[in-house]
Amino acid sequence: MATATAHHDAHPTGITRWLFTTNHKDIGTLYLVFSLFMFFVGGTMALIIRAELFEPGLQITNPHFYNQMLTLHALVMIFGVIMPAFVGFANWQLPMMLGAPDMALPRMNNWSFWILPFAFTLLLSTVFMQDQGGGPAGGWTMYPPLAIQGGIGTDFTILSIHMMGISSVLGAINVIATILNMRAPGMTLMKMPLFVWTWLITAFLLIGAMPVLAGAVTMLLTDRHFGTHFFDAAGGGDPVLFQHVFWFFGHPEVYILILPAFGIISQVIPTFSRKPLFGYNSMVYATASIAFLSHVVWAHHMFTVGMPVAGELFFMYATMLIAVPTGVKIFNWIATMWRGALTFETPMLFAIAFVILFTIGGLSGLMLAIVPADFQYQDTYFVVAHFHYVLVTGAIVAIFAGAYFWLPKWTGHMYNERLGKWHFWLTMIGMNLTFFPMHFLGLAGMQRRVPDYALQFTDFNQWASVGAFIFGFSQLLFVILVIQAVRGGKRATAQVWEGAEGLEWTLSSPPPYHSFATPPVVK
Amino acid sequence: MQRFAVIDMRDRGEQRRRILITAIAVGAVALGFYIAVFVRFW
Repeated sequence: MATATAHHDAHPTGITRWLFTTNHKDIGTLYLVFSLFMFFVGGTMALIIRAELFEPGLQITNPHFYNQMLTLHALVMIFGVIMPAFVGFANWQLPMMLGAPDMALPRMNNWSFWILPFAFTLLLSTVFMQDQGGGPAGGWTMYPPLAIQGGIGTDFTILSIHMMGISSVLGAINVIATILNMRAPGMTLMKMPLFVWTWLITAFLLIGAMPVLAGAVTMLLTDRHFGTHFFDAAGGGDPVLFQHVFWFFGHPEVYILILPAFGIISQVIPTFSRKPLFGYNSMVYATASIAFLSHVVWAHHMFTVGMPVAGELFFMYATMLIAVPTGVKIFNWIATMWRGALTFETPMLFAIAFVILFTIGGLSGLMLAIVPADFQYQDTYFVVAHFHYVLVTGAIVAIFAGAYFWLPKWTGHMYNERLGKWHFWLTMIGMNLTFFPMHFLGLAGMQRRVPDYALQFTDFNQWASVGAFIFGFSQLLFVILVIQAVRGGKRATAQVWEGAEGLEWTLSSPPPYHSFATPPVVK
Repeated sequence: MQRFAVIDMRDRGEQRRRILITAIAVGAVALGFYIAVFVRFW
């Protein structure tokens, strides 16, 4: 079906290869390495937070620094870890899955990546400006009036968010242009792998959401420095307007962070079940439905702000409706495994963990969607537990599933399966020990974003902190494992996994520098 | 050796044209959303 050639295989070496590269695999690698590095930066911030929360009272931070860690942890993990990781996967996999030689706009691809290190340097540099107020400390949502009163760190954050937004929008343009124009002959839309579908829909979400965030933070900037009063009640503005505009971006953002994860899981589970994906068409329609609904549920993040009851009811029911297409996906993954010839290599372990743990996060989301219940849960650790179940045991676990799944294809070497299983189990123990007790803390009334707490919350907090350190340090195993696989090991075959199907598995492992110089024909 | 290793699409004129149209259209939509936020709330 496919012919990989050595044509165009020559490429620059050394630092210039990485600075000036326009190759989708190189750029994919850059995104993934950047994401891994930022994972440890954001993880260190999380461990500072958990170390502080190990005991009630203030031990190692002051409240202002704690708030900076909290805010930066969120911004780094969302914009610096999960999003770049998925863009890295997209860069590596989309051309190979579509039978294309590269992304449609390779030079823009280079620019999309190289904006990011500068954006995050700008953001993280604020930690070293404590005399001028330090980093952003009002939470990643940057609600005014707090954000308007913040120090210079807020301005740095606004500029870096603009840069991240430009990077994301350029990346989304590239993904859409690639998928719509670079497919191999015969690769109709409904023959595309699910990962490609989820990324196409994610790219449209990015186009719809990121400019709105940029608009919101630009208004914040003009309110701070240029005399406007968009969000200043004293000048005729409305702080609640910011919340509406922010969450009009923020909820689609949640799906930007999870739809590519769905795509990865939809590739991994059929491979290790040795069966085609159950209900391919319904998976595509479910993904599109989730994307549509994500644009009409934003106000469930702000039920307590004081909305008309009709508004609260609309956003409650619309939010609950998302459970339907999400449920379709969960059932389809289970049906794919049903009576399959299952094996449990590390990618499959992570994928099964995703299905179970993401469902927990989804169910607590349904609880939060219930307006009267949300009045109790709002701003408690129950919310923290919910979104960490979605984003850590969901998105991060899917990223690990994808990394283990495609690592042999990318490096040409099998990873150390034994070490992979150690990494999986330590990660599972660590992350569940960290986030599960937070449900109980929230239900008991522990406030989020406060470095101190009442004595009664001590036990669960100590469990969570111990879990966080297990989770954090066990990630070093992953780094060791990746370095081992890059440097050598058992040679991977082209197909790598017995049940793997798709164009990318017809290429050698590692694939040639340009994937399909001659387009394959898909039947 | 190609300095920038870009797959040369100049010999694929139609594909290149379609890619550019797609990119410009999608980019214009993104820019439109950004401007719309200000127009709506000014």
